[in-house]
Amino acid sequence: MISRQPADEARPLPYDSNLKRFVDSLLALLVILSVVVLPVVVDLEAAEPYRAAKSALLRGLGLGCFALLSIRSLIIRSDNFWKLDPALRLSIAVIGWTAIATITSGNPRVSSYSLVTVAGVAAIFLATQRLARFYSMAPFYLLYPAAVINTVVYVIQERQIWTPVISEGTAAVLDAENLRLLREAGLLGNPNDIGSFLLVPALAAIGLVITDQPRRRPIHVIALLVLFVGLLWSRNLTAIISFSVALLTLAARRSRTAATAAVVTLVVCLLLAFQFVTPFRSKATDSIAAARAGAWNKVVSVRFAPFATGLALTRDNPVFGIGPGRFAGDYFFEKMELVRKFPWLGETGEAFKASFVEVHCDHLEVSAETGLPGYILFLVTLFTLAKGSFSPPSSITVDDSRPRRFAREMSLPFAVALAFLTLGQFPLQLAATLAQHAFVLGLCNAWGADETA
Amino acid sequence: MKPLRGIAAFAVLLMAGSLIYLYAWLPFAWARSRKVVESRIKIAARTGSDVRRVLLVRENLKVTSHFERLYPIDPTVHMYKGVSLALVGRNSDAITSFRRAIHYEPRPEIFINLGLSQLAVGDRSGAVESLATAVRFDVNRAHWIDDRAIRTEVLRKAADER
Repeated sequence: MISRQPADEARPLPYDSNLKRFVDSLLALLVILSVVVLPVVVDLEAAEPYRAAKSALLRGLGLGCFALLSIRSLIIRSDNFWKLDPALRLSIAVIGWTAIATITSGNPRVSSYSLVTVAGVAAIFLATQRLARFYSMAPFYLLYPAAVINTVVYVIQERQIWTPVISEGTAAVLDAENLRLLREAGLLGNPNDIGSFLLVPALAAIGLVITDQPRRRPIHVIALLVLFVGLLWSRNLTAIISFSVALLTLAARRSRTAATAAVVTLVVCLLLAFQFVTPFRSKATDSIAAARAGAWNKVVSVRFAPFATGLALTRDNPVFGIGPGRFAGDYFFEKMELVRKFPWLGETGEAFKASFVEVHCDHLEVSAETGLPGYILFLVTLFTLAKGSFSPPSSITVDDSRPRRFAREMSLPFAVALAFLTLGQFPLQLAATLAQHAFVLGLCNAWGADETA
Repeated sequence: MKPLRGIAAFAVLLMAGSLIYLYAWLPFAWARSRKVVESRIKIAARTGSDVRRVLLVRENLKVTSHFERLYPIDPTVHMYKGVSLALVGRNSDAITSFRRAIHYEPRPEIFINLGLSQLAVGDRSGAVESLATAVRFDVNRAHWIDDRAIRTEVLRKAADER
């Protein structure tokens, strides 16, 4: 006898006061703005139309969430909102250690901006984690709009069908190379940012195909195709590799047949992409040629210098780090010192001339800026995300709600994807991806944790 | 207790508002102002009219001085202030601004500007030191130095220190 599929476990809203409802509604609104609106915000009047506006908006929304959560704790005392569960403990630990690293920073004023960002993102995570259980599957769909819009805008920019963002005033003050980068940036600012941003929604689409209602599957399949093509078009090999590894992780947890099918599907898709997606083909060809020639620095887009600098700064400041947000300030002299000792780091190339503002590897950046304790907290955060999957798939029954099934299927693949993505990219330094990852972490933590936790 | 909690909530709102102004609004406002400051610098550098140059620089200094007080961590605030000052011959003040920019985030272009301003005030050794620092980071920056004798000296110093 087949059990009737139960209704999704959305709890009835437990509001016993209008004030609580109002505060929680505002919190939900801020979270929605950070996931849906922030990634598509562009300031045409700014010299840099993309990242600056998003960073400012993320801090504003995060501070708003932080303030609302604080007010909620002060004036509403009658529910379990503030039980000291692992999510709250993690948030306190991350904010606390970032504050310590800020106080001990080489320039506390600079680091204070990163501290505010971290506190705001932690607030977005907590707000999502606390409120998600009231809304069933709907929050998962919020990952789509910004991702699809950015994919469409990026592809039509890259094909030079239309470049909707660059104003004449901005074009007049930029050189040719920077203008080209801005023309092919979606609404995020850089093709690499596009790839980093599309990774999680593309994986979420796979999870929704598996766990959502059958009548909604065609929508998720279409979304998956659009986002996967956008991922390939972005030339971000790290994001593509992260997606592949996450997909294989998901398939391997289900069955050997699923893993084999996933491998075959991936290989076919990548071969087709190589044939038909020009940016992917050119990036893959260049990387393969560089690897064959032994030009490994070129394979990693001439990033050995910032990687080595990140390692050196971690070695020199293992406990407290150099301070959050301080890599850009320390890179200049540290890199020259390293090139003096290891001249092969002084390889010429366009990217070499850049004064790197980020390490381009978040693992190294977190350890350099917040020390090894900060890096351990980063790994704990990834583990917290992965933990939602630690019930074996066979224990997921039809009686489980869809959100819980989604969290248990996808938490580990998300964690694996982020672990790989942060090896070669810097999603934690970009407002849009940071907000998105905090949101996903909150959702998976809300539904993946045991009911009794 | 309820009035106290209400007062505490109000205090939280005030603090959040202040932090949003300092950490979200000011960076956003500078990102917008920076584009205007850049275009004024380009016009001021090209114009043959001293009066026009002075007026453009004066507008730039109003903007950069405002952000220098409230949003000093962005090195471009100090760098553009220094470039504007150098355009009207106030090279000593420009040097101060460039040093502030380097304090927050050293970059080769800031060292180049610092070196050129030091040359303008007659500090040759300081200028060679600053320019050599930029060239050590990126040897292609040497082409920004017009004076051939200085450029040769800078390249030699940068090579020695490598």
